[in-house]
Amino acid sequence: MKNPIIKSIIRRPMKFVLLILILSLVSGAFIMNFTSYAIVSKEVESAKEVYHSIGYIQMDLSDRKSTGNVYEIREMLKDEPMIAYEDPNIYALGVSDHLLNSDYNVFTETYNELSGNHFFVRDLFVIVQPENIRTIIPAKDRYDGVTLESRVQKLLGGYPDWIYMKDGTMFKDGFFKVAAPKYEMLTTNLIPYMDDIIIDELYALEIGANYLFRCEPNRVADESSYTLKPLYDSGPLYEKIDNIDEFDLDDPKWQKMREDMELLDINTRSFNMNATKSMETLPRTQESFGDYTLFDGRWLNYDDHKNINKVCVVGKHFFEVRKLKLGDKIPIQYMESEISYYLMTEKDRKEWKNYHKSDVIEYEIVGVYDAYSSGRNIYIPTSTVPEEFLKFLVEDGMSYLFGQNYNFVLNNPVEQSQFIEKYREPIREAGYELQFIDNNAETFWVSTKQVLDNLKTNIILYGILLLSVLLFIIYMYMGIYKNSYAIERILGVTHKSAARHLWMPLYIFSTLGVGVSAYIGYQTAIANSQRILEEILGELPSNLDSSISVKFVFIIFLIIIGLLMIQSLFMMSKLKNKSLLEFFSKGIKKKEKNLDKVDLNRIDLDIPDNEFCTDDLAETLSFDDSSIHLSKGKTALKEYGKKYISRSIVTTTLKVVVTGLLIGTLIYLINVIESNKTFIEKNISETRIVGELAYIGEVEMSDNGSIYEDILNKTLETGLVEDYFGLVLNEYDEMNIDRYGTKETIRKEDILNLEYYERNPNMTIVASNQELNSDSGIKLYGVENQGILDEFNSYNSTKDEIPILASTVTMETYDLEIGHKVALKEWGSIYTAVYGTIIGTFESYAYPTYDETQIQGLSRTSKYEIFIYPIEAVRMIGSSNLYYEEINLLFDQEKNEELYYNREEILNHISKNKYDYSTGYKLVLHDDILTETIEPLEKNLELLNIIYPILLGLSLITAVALPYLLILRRSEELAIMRILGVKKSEVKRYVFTESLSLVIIGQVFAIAVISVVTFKSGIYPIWKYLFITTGYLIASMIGVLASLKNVLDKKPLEMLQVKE
Amino acid sequence: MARLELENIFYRYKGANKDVLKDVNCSFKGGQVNAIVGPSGSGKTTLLSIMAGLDEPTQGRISIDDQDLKDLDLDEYRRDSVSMIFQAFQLFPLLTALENVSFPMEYKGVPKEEARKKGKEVLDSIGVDGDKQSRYPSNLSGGEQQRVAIGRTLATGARVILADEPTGNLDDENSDRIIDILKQLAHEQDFCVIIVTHDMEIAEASDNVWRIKDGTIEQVK
Repeated sequence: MKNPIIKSIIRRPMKFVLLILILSLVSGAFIMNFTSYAIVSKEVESAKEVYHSIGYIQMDLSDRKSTGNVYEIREMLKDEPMIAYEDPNIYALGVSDHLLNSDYNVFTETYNELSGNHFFVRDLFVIVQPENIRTIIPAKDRYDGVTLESRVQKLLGGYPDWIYMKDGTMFKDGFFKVAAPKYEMLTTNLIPYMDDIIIDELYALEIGANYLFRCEPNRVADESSYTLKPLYDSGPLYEKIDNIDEFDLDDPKWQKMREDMELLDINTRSFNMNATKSMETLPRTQESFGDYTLFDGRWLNYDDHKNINKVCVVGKHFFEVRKLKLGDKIPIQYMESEISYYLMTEKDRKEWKNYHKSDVIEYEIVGVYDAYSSGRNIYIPTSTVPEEFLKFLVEDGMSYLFGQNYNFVLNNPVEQSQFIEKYREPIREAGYELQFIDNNAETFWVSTKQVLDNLKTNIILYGILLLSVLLFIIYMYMGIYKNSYAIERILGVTHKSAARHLWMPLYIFSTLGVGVSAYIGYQTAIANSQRILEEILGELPSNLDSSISVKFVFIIFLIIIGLLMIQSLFMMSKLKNKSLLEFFSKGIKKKEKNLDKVDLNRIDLDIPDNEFCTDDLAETLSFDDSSIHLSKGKTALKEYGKKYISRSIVTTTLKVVVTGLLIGTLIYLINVIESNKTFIEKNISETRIVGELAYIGEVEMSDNGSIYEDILNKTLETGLVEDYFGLVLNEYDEMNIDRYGTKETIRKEDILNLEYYERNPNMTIVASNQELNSDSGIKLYGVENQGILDEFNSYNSTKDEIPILASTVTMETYDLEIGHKVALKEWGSIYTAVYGTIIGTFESYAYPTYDETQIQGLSRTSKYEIFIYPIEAVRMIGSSNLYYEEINLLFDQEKNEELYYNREEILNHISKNKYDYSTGYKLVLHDDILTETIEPLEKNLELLNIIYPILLGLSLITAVALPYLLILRRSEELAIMRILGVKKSEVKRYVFTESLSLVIIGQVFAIAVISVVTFKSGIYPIWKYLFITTGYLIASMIGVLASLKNVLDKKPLEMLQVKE
Repeated sequence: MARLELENIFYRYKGANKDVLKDVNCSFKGGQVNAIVGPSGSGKTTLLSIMAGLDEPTQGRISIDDQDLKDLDLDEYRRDSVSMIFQAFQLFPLLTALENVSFPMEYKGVPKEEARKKGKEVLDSIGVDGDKQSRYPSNLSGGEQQRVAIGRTLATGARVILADEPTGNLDDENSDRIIDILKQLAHEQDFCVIIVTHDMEIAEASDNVWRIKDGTIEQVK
């Protein structure tokens, strides 16, 4: 082995290994933090695109003041600086020359609700052949309606898809049923153009002959069919066609029908152009809220709006049926219309041909959404719609913007609470409710900010530490091995070779050490980042890209090695220029000594001759003994110490800065850990946790309600529930009425016996454990007076008479009066009827919610027959067991910690019985906001709790090693003191005091800086700071004492030989 | 007049099985320059260390002015009675020339101002004057550094000067001048100067010469 330094390292490896170990550890820690930050911040930044704070306005139905028009509220909010942008979705009608929409199929399921001859955009004009004519089902009377089972011969107008699409469900081989019912299904009103005469006519139609019908898709009870309509306003219901080929649509007699067909035609090519600034922030596209999902491509985003991109997102149904592809262009002409949706009003029918149209705009399809209404709704950037078509609906001089079409996005989700504070009440006063999409954006931003801040700080701290360590390593390495370089040079080895010998071991082992630590740091970072991200994002991104981080790690690795090389090259150039003999001079470096900037050129190296004169020396050296005070000797050492500290800049700075950095890092880490803990505790204690019991279908249940009360009792036994709302919703099928002595029994009909326009009235009992109209009880609206509620609420099972409240619909349907008694029961039940007395009525009712972000008491429709019973009275009907429809739980806030940290155990307690079998129920905790805020922080805490002891250990090792090495370097100086007669104890005291003073200065400096930095957190873990600083001080003392023992236990002349 | 006497001195390092010094007897008087010569490893530095009170002999007696060193506090002995000059000067690198010279005086309790005044005078007298007094050792030439070291020796007030190869790092001219100073101190101020050296020229210039070989000493001049 030609390299003498490698030999030295092999023979005495400790110091070298220690240096490489320190470099590797700090590099690894830096790389780990940097990589974690790179991965987490990248994912978090892209996740932030999803985590918007999206507000919208909901109608407060309980109040009934609101009309759904939020235009005024929008005016109030639109200039609010906390809002990044508001997005009133404005509809405009667009038509395309040859492209049919696919609206026909979307509404088939609920078409009944939209039926009516004024609205004919889904009508068919079709020539058919009846194959069978019969009474409509279900109906007993032939005059209830007719069904014509027919086969299509020719389509004249309407969507061809109805008939010609292969997968069409309504027509099979052109066969379909046209129903002509006598009554409107829901209202049971007579249809104006139907009567017994026309029904007789329809029964008499000729089988096999051709007839022209106009019909609309419909369903009558269980029968898929179309409903027959007049061919035009006041026109006939059918027209017999003798010869299809000779049928002339241009005949003047079809003028009115032809006009309807033209309007129908343009409506089938019309689109509801939905102008938005960003689909990414539409409530309807939000996972927790909306019913729109992205089927293909992408959503429109704010940039599309900003850049006026002519792009669009179309519905899945339309996209598939019309065989479109992403990138296809749809030519659209905006068209004036009355309601911006369809051409369907009387005015539209009359004037549509004269309506203003825009130029053709070609929209490129960039995305496809999947939603119920995906037949003709096309989303386009607001900025692409010509201004004249971008108007709010105006009716009676009032602008309309419906709540469901308005949302806004906050600049900073962290301001969400502040925004709510500012606007909730004014908006409530206007009869609306301010809502935010429940996507935890605020908690996500708050928690990620904290996590990223922590990681960022770690990078800065470790970066500074790494730079200091690099300097330290080179400084120490040079100190240890520079003489070997000089000896080689003296022996005639060239500078190049000697320098190579000097640095090569450092390069090789540093590269290996840093390389290995980089790999370990990288792997640890990946694992840690995954854990953090999993918690922050709920799940790990499927496309987690750590390859970029690999590049980062490699670059950082190169930078570390590069810095080491640059430093060493700098040192090498200094070595080259240094006189070889200087290596062996005993003083310390010129850099430390040349404090008074002496001009070396002026130094006279010659000593003047014969100037030494001892004549006066005797007098000079005679001391007045009275002026000598030995005790002042200590002052001399103190003076010396001060001079040493002020003149030995590098050493002093090294001690103070290293101490400051390490103590600063440690106490900052402690502060971060503590502030995270405080944040977690605060969140836990301030959050109202609500939950519910859910049936998971693994045990038998009652027909009425799915939650058996035993499971409720089991939940209450945990002692964690502060309050609960248990709702009983029982449906019975027999009702006994006692009208002041006259008794009547009503039973529900068998469903098969009902005609299509008939329905069974409800016999529903609603009850809850809470008092009516209390904060957590059922809300009743339209109750005549409070006394009724008081009477109801004061009921207990010892009272004879059961008070009952009935909805006004109930009173009408069953012809009831106050004071009548009713008893509901299961048909054929063996239990005796339990009568209660109707003491009052109500118009509508609502359930309470413990969720403070939800509207309290959102009213339910009251069109059904509902009785409100005291819950104890319900128990008397049938068996004494109760089954609840739902049970909402409010947990005791003071026991949140117990609930949060024993969550799994508690959930298990509810879901499993003592034999570990499923109870069939589970406890659902709505603590997402809490868990999504806390869990990332807890993971981060875990990470910090790993980093902290490592850093503490490293710091304590440094605290011991640094003074140890630095004192060892001063052996000669201390030896001189000893030779000059300074006592060992005095040397010890001096060095001890000086070293610890510098450590204390470093600590005070660090605490001051970190206190300023963390001032805002308001957290001062004094005892932990004290523990760290005391620990560091003790470690430094150990280092000082060990070094002093090493140095001073030697004889002074040996001390002169002591090397590190 | 200072007198340093060594009687029957033996010295053996701990764990060693051989004496480094064997029955060394010699006496050094003030007013004379004494040179101790001998090959490397002969025990010169060990002897010097014992004389300086930096080490104690395994056996034997050392006395200064008839006072046994065993009866003295060695720290005080070094502070007041002997002082040393080294080949590598051994100055405090972060103290100026003047501060280096003043330090022993200040340590002895001489008031700071007086110590500085006397320090200046000493440095002036040995030819380190003007701005050189406020320079750090690294900014002085070897000869100047050794003069400062001699100045520090004088400032201790000790009458015995022990010099370990004091000219080892100096050129001939500077060596001659340092030896001249030491001689003047001995001859004119009655200092007892003991020089350990390889340099035969110094030996020749000394009043007495002692040769040490294999741990034994004999006076050759």
